[in-house]
Amino acid sequence: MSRIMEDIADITNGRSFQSYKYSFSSVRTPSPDYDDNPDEVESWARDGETMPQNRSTDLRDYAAELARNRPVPCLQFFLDGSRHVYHVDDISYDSRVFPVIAGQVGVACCRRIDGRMQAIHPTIRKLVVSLPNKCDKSGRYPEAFLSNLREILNNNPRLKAKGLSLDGVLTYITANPEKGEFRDRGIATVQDYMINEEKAMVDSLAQRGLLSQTAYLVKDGSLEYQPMKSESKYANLKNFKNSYQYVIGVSKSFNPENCKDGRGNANARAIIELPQFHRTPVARIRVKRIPDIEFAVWYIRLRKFPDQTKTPFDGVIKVEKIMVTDRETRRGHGCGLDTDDVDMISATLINERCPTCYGSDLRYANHLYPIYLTESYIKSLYLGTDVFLSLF
Amino acid sequence: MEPKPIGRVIATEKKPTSVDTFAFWTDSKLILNPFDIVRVDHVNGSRSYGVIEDISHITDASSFLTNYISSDFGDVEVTPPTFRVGMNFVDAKIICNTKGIYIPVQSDEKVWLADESEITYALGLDNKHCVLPSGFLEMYENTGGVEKVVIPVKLDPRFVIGPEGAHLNISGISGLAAKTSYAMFLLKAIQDSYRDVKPEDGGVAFVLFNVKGKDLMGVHLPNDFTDDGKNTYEQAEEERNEVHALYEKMGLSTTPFEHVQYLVPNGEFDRTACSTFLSETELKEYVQSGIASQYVFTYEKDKEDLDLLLSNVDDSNQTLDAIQEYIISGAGGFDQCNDWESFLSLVSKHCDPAESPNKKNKDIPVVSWRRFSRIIRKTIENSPLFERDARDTTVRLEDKLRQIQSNDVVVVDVANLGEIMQSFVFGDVVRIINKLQLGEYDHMGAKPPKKIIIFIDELNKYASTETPKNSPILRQILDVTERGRSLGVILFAAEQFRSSIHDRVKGNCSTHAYGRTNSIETSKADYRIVPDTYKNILTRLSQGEYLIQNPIFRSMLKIKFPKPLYKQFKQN
Repeated sequence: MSRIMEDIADITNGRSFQSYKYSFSSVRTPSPDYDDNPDEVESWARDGETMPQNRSTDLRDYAAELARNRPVPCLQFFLDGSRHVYHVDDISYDSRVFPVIAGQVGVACCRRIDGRMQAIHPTIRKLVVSLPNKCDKSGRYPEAFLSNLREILNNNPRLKAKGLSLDGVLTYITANPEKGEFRDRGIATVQDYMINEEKAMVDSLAQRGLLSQTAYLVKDGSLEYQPMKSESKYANLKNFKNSYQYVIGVSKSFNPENCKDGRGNANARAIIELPQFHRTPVARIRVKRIPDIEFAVWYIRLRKFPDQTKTPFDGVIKVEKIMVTDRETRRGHGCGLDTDDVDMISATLINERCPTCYGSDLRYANHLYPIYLTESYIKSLYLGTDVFLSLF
Repeated sequence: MEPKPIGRVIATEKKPTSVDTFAFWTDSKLILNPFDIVRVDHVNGSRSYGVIEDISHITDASSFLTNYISSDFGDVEVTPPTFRVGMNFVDAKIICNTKGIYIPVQSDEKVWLADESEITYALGLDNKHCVLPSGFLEMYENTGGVEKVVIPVKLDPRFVIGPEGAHLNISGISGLAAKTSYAMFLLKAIQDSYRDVKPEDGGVAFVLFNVKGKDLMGVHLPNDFTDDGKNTYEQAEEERNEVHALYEKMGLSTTPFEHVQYLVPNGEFDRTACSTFLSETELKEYVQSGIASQYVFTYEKDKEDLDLLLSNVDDSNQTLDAIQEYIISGAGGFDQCNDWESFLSLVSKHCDPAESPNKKNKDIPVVSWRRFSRIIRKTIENSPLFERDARDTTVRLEDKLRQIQSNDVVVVDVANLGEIMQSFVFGDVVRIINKLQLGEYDHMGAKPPKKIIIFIDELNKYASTETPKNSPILRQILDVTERGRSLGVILFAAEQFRSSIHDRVKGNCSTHAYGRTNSIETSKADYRIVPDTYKNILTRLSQGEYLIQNPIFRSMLKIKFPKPLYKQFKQN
């Protein structure tokens, strides 16, 4: 039975080297330290909520009241995307050698019903391979070429024997080699593929009418999606931002330099000194790469420093919401996110501090347990590394 | 109701499935119990059946600290909005496969509850030879979505009373285990099953020892279910109906024992019931209605059994044994003795060096004679059981027992006798039954049934690990357990602590019933093969519950049995 790489080399007239295969999760790979990007913030204004605050808001009592009365929490849906990326081979075209990157992509959404998590089907679990764009000799009809290539590869007996198929054949750009390693470009294509699937799932949930003011979706990580050069509906957030009306992004890690004061200077100290169960005022931000969208951003401290955390930023989460409605996008007094909504979301998030994934995830202080479960669910669906690599 | 799967098989690096075992996950709220049977679909369209051995609950918490921190660092009032993910995983032991395939069951295979016919097949209860009711099992008690399954458990009599296997051992602590009741239930089932069998085709008779109060002194009388007056008439009636229904479901009659004869120790002239717990009136009534006789021992015919009086006495130099031989041979004037008085008088003479007729024989020292005298005098002297002759209302055990017929139930009462005397009577009866089955009484016209079942409680008194090796009773019990299967002498014995019973006795029992016991007992080597969960269950069993082991069952079974049908006397 031929391997997928042999088929790829045959079809694209390249030469496969059957190089050492490995998972990037087992070796150190370059990855952003933060979910957001500090250089991208274009503007930071303090009028992100209807009743702008000058100082942090204490939500201890509100959160305790919510916990005591036990209404159904307004955060009902939890979405997470994940990818495992592998170096599966090296292939040469025109005397140049390029890495071949493959990935398993998973996106899942779980719904909390009576305190128990249930996966909402269909959960996305896809296998992709990312090749150098040199594999397409003509380059004239890339989509047709890649679609045709995927069809042929899916006839591979190894894949068929395991009941698997490739869901995407991606390409990364090989021009300007001085602007980054090919390997990272390949990984980026898999990452983009995953983000696209995430967006599609959010859109689908919104279209199905599942999201509402009493049923928010919490997405793991930032909502600051970079626009993509693609025909896809999901290439640009502005095309479907209405689907994000009841979606918040919660980042475990963030760059504290992104938090600014009224004069636009970095104000990381505001986060360090944020007392437990307080939230910061909501900021209205715009990032350079997504010029059409405004985001509401605030921070919440779930755990006390230094009693319960090791570093000042442990136990603090960053919350983002896309400004969707007219009232939210307009500037001025009484505009922005409804302060009551912000308080309710924040108090609900404070109550999410228990239980924790202490011992299983080093980021437990910032991790929300339902998100952790969603992440665990996706990962449980992945093929084992050895099985996956043996396909190539 | 359409069966629904209850979980899937787990096979991980750390916990693989094997030829013998597998584990499956299930909902943490699903109520299952150890001993429940589950089904797993297996290769080639076969099905494997497993018996649940243990159920564990796990969550994704990696340590105790995780839970502590998840309660907001020790706040007991915290109620998190999301429950921690948890599930039950069940350890099961493979008991059979429909096509004899014993490769490990495969990962992720669905696991189902077995239905009644599947349980019967899985446990080997569908064997056509299994006709002897031994209780009933209940499964899926409180399990949601299915009805409780109640299945009569039947044994293959060939593996209970021979010829394939024989002897029953019942263990459990007094009172809570209801050992006597279970033995009597089985004996009742055997009597019912063999009632219509012709003697030449293999009739069965029973010899029971009443060792406590009047426990077995009313086995011919019906149970009134009043529980010593605690139950009202209506409650008694309701209980009677329930118990009768269970007996009927198992195919048994609802009458007490039939053909019962009581052998009661002889009493004093003016206190005939002084050696029994029966009242004078009860005894008189029993005797007059012809179902009871009082037994005695005569010197002329029972002197050969004197060794039984010495069964628990340490005789490392075998001098007591030598005295016994000496007496039986008639030396020293013992051939001239014709009653116990003259015998005791002669023994006394042997204790006095001046008077001893045994002066020339230095093999038996006087001190040994004195010791012998002390032991037997304590038992024989002034005892109404040792008479000159058996006449009128008194009988000799040998004379009575050699007439035993199929379906007869002979209850030998020893409850109110001293320990030495109890051993003496037990040893004597076992010896008689052995002789009977060996044909030693054939010349006297004895026609014994093919099988005689002896039931004795407190076996530890006669065959414990501490019983002297030269004990004649131990020798007889070993003889019964090792050869009785072919002779037709079957021992049903009970004791509090199984671990204290002689290994060869236990080893020869084909059926074992484990009643409630304590954790000290289950930590002994006897219970090494019992899974830990079952050991703990043994300490929690209710009255009327047993774990039974028999070669025809593929696994240990947890069974229940109904209350006895015979009269229950109040315990004082």
